[in-house]
Formats: sequence, structure tokens, C-alpha cells
Amino acid sequence: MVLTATPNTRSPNPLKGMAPRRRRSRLRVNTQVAVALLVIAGFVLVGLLAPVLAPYDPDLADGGVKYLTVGAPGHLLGTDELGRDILSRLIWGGRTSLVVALAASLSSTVAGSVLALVAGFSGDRAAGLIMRTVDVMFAFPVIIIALVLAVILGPGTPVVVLSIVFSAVPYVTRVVFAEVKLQRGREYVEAARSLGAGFFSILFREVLPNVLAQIVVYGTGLVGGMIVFSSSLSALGIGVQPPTADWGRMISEGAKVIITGNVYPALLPGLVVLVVALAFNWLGDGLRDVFDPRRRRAGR
Amino acid sequence: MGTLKHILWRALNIVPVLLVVSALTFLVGRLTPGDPIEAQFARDHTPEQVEAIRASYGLSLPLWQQYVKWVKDLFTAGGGMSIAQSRPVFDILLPNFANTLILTAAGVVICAVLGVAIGVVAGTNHRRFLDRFAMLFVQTGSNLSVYWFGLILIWIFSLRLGWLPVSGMESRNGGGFGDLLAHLVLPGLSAALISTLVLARFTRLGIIQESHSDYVRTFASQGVPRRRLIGKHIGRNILPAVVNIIGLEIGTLITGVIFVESVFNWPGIGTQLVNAVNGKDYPLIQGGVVLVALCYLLVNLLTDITVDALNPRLRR
Repeated sequence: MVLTATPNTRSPNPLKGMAPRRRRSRLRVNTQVAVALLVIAGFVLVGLLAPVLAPYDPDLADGGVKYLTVGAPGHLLGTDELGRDILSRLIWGGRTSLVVALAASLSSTVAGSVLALVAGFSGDRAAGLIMRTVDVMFAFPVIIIALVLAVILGPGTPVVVLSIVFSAVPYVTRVVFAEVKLQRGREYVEAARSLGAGFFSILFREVLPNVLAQIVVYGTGLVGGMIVFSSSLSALGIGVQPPTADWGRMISEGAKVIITGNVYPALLPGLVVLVVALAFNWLGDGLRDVFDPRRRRAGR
Repeated sequence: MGTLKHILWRALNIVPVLLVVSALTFLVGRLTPGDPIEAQFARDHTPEQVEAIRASYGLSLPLWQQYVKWVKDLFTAGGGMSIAQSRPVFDILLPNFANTLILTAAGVVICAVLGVAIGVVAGTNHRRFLDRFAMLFVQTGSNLSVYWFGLILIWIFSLRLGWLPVSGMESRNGGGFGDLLAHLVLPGLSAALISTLVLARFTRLGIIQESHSDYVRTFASQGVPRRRLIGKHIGRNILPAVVNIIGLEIGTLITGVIFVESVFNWPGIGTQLVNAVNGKDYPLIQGGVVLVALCYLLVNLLTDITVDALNPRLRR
């Protein structure tokens, strides 16, 4: 879903950031990065400090206080259909959701980058094989991959991580491959080669540092989509399993009671997912402008 | 003649891909721990009877024979028998598959209309308020979970405002085409969300890029009206790209539709597949996956043909 949305739409707009507005936009970019980092750091910190911060046990069902709305005394964000404190569940749920999304983004970025580096510097045949395999991976709707994995592994967190990795690797590979190709004919590569550097040494010591900025930027942008996607999988019942609190599960549990008019159990975790995903998107966009302000003008 | 040959060649290319997909799905099902026959029948049958049932499903044959039998079943026996429902798989799947297609089609229409509209408005107002606003909207929307978006739509338009039905595909006492349309609006919007926004971005970018090209500048300097410039000249040049994106986005849409079906209780193939996964009903899963994959490949083929037809320069 969002997986396909984010990478494609990152095409640089050649017109943005032209001539006179440049200085101002650079400043704005840094503010953007700062704000995004602040939001993300805040959520990470809250997740780390969950045992201290959460006012209640996230799984404690108190039948006496079902369906409290936002602002109820003792329960700042209200309670859900089982009388569990929504704020506490959000705080604890962030742990699962963030760890899943970060782990999945990191592993798909690493795997995709390695594939792209190898493809970029090996012969036509190997490169063709890798890139065609990537094309085939593109051809599968993510949901099919997730369902098939759920059959093999049984529903659970590994399914979420693996299906995210499977669906994100092709995008990473394609983007990084384009960067690596640009490095292929550069003099420093030639120099390293004439000094007797081996294949992998050239790749990881020489080329990797030159494309690392792009990889980091792209990987950061992925995280937001991953959080959204993992929450959808949990909501479908093939992701994180109860009783683990997770933003996606909270949405799906809230979905069951929305018909009774209680919107908060579903609304609040969704808003949190939106804010965190936006923050990662902002960070990715901002980092790109900081690392590579001329890229947009080059109009690749 | 050349074109026809090209199309036939592309169509033939589908066959090996389908074979790989079907073999993979088949293997995955068989290599999974857990035994659906045990789970289904062990309680009220003797071990010998369970073995007999297993044999009647062909599950005691060697793996490759099972695969060959299954491929044959796909064409002759309706995809084999479902384990949980003991009916041919396609008998179970096809009626629901039609419903999924209806929802997907609605999604495609909504995506094409809304996406191009937003893109044109933003692109022709580049850097002005409307553009900024539209892009803010697009960025926020791209970070929404489809599942959650559907829920919130239900809450606003069905529960609070009472304008549209909450879920399902038709009212209890039936209601004809208008009723179906009313049921389609919210799920269609949710399913189309992400693709609409992707399309909007592409359309906007296409218009911005084209409007700086020489031919547009020349026409503009000759006094060709803006409206005609955008509609006729720029439009024609970005159309193949737009159609291509719509085609590519159908894959995303199918994924979205499966999430959306579970939110809106839409009687489609998604719900069945999720249930089949949980019940380890291999034949049903395999049939469903092959069906979706076939659909997907056909859409890709059609997209290629359309794009070729719209842009003769791509033909070689």
C-alpha cells in the first residue's frame, strides 16, 4: 500500500528550490529536520520509559470503567471496551510498533543496498539477474506476500517484519542501484582498482561511503510507511497477536466497538500512527535537502 | 501486424510467471507445519478414516504428483476441493471474486478521476495556495492507514451524519443499482486513497515539467489559450504516463481492497483468504492466490497495450 506510494513519489521536482528562494528554504529544511527529530525522539523516549510513564497496566481490564471518554478523571485519554486505559496502551504499544517498523526498515535497507551494490559492480549478466528478480518481486501485491507468510509462520510479529522486508527490498534496490551506477565510471573507483583493491573492498570501502547519504535518506523515509503498513496488518489479524499492545491491534479492537459510537479506542491510535509516520517522512525529506540540496535542481 | 505479434508474445509471457507463482504457492502450503486434515477430521474419525480422507484429497501422493493433479484440477475440477467447506474452490471463490472486482473497479474509477483532478489543480497552480494546500493534503493522506481511514469514514458519514450505509454490499431488502452505489462510496474511497494520492503527485509533476518545455512556451507565446494548452497539448503528452501509473497502482489497490473488505464487511475474496489462512485450507488459499495473480498479470498486460497504443514512440 503505502510502500508503493512513498518511493515512487519521491521523484525530485526540478523546479523546487530554484534561484532566489534557496537560502530561506535551506533554513526551513533544518527546522523541519529538527521538528521531526524532536517528535520521533519524544515517542522513542516515551516507549523506553513506558514502565515509568504509563499510569496503568496496559492489559489491566477494569469492568467498572468501560468506555470512558477523553478527559475522564483518572484516565486522561479514556478507556476502551474492556476498561483498559488507552493512554497506557498507547505508551506500551509504541514499543512494539516502533521496534517492528525500525527493524523492518533497517533490514530492508541493508539487504536492498547490498543487492544494489553487488548488481552495480558486477557483470551485465549478474546485474540483469538481480534486477529482474527485483522486478518479479515488484509484481506481487504486498498482501499476497503477507498472507503466504502468515500461512508458513502462523500469524505474528515475524510475519509483519518479513512481509515488510519483502515488499520494501525491491524499492531500496532500485533506488540505490541508480546511485551506484553513477559511481561506476568515477576516477576514485579506477584508482582503487589499479591499487589492487578487491571487488568487495571497492564496494564497501570506496563506493558505499559515496552513496551512504542517499541510502540513509531513503531508509528514513521508509519507516513512516512501515509503521502504517504494520498497523494495517495487525488490524487484519495476521500481525502482532494479543495480548501485546500495538497501535495496529488497538485500531482493530476499536473497530469492533465503533458501531456503538465509541470512536476514541480506534481514533487515538490511528492519530498517533499518522503523527509518527509524518515525522519520519519529514525527516527523510529534510535530510535529503540537507545532504544533497543540488539534487533537485539537477533534475535527474 | 507487428503490434499484434507483440501483444501475443506478451500474453504468452504470462504463462511461465503463472506456473512459477502456482508452484511457489503450492510448495508453501505443503511445507507448512500443521495438518489441516488432522485438524478438521481427527476428532470424530478413526486414524484409518483420516488416512482415507487424506488420500481422497490426493494428499498422500508424492509432492510433484500432487502439484500436477492440482494444476489439472485448476482447469477441470474447479481448483480442487476446499478442505473446510468440501466444495470446489472456484465455486466458493468466484461469486466473492466478482464482488472484489466491483470494489476494485470502483476504486480505479475514483482513483483516476480524483487523482487526475487533484494533480491538474495543483500542477496548474504551481507554488500558489491551491498547490500548497493540495500537497499538504496529499502528504498527510499518504501516511494514513487504509484500514483506519475506512473506519473514520464510517464513523463520520455513516454513524454521525447517517448519509451512507455502514457496511456490506446491499441493503437487507435489496435495492438495485443505486443501493449498490451507495454501498460502494466509502469502501471505494478508502481503497483508492493511496493510489489517488500517488496519481495526483505524478500528474502534478508531469504538468509542471511539461509546462516548461519549448513547445508549450511557443504555443503560449502564439496566444493559444491556457485552457486549451493544458487540455489538448500537455494533456496528450502526459496521458501515457498517467495511464501507466493507474495500471501499476492497481496492484496497490488490490492490497488496499483486501484491507478495506475487512473494515466494511464487503463479501469479497479478501475476507475468504484471511479465513482460509487461519484455517490452513490449502486448496482455497492456492486457488485464491492464483486468481489474484492472474488478475494482476492481465491488468499489467492491458496497461502495457494501452500505453503502447497511446504513445506510438514507445513501439519498437
